[in-house]
Amino acid sequence: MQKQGLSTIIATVLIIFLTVIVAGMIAQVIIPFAKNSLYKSTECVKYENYFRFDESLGWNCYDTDAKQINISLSVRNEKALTDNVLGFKIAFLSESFSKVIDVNEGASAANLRNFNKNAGSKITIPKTGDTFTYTYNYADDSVTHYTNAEVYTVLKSGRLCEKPSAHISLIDCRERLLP
Amino acid sequence: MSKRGLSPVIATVLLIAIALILAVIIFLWARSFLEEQNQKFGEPVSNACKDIDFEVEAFHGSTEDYVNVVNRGNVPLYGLEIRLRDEGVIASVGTFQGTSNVIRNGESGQVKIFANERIPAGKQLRIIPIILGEKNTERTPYACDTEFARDAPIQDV
Repeated sequence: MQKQGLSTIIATVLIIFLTVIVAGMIAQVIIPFAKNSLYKSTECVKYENYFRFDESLGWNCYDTDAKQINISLSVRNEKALTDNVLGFKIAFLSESFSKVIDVNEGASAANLRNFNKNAGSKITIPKTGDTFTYTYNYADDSVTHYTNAEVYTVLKSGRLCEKPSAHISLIDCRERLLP
Repeated sequence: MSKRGLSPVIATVLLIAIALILAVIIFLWARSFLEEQNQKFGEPVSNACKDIDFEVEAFHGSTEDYVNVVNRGNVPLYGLEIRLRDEGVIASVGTFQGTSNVIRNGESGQVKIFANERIPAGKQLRIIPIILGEKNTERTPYACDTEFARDAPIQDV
């Protein structure tokens, strides 16, 4: 009986052909997928500590009479980062209650406004190195006062960075030290 | 029937060559993830901000506002970023860098504030140092973070 198989030349050509196809698939599908996944998983790393509570203005306190919180937020002095930031989320925390507010440039936020601006006015967020103070009115919240605040960075890609950019314990405004 | 295959020498050479090619491909691919860093003294430029030591005094002159600077550290200052502290806000007045604004180690100098409006005496300024880093063989100014800034009231001359 005569046994026949692929000639060595055809086998080699087939192997090379398969290798090229596999390499093409890796280049076209797997590499962009890995690159994208890596980017998404690391895009917030640069924004750790992007927003910070600035204590030099003497705010970051609650006023139980006016039912208001004043907080000063500063932004890290790196121009390259500012372009990708859409805004921030700020969480006010008490022992039994918490409230999260979305703050985006040019939009208005419920009960939160820039310091000395009217309620419902468009909000501006600090740019590279700036510090802005915000006033939050918590008369509608079922809490005597909040004890802590956390800020989270929101990127233009829509990504909310899960790790708080900064955290602060709020003090009573009557105890604050004026700068 | 004679059986023939690759000699061990050729097989080894082939394996080494394939491993090297793969290593080069992976290296080139991985390098595209790393951004070129702005450096100074062979370290990220932000590290040099820690070595800056300077003193400032701000003045409201008759015709212009200016900042007097003494550089006491080992890092030359390429300029200053000046911010004005107002009620609830600290915002930029301007960036003044290069040529006449460079203050070398141990030297003192004056940086004029060319802003849209004069800054009245009594206001508080935040002065942020700018240093020069190197990126892709190009020299790039870098403004340090606000934690390395100095605050100074603007005084009448």
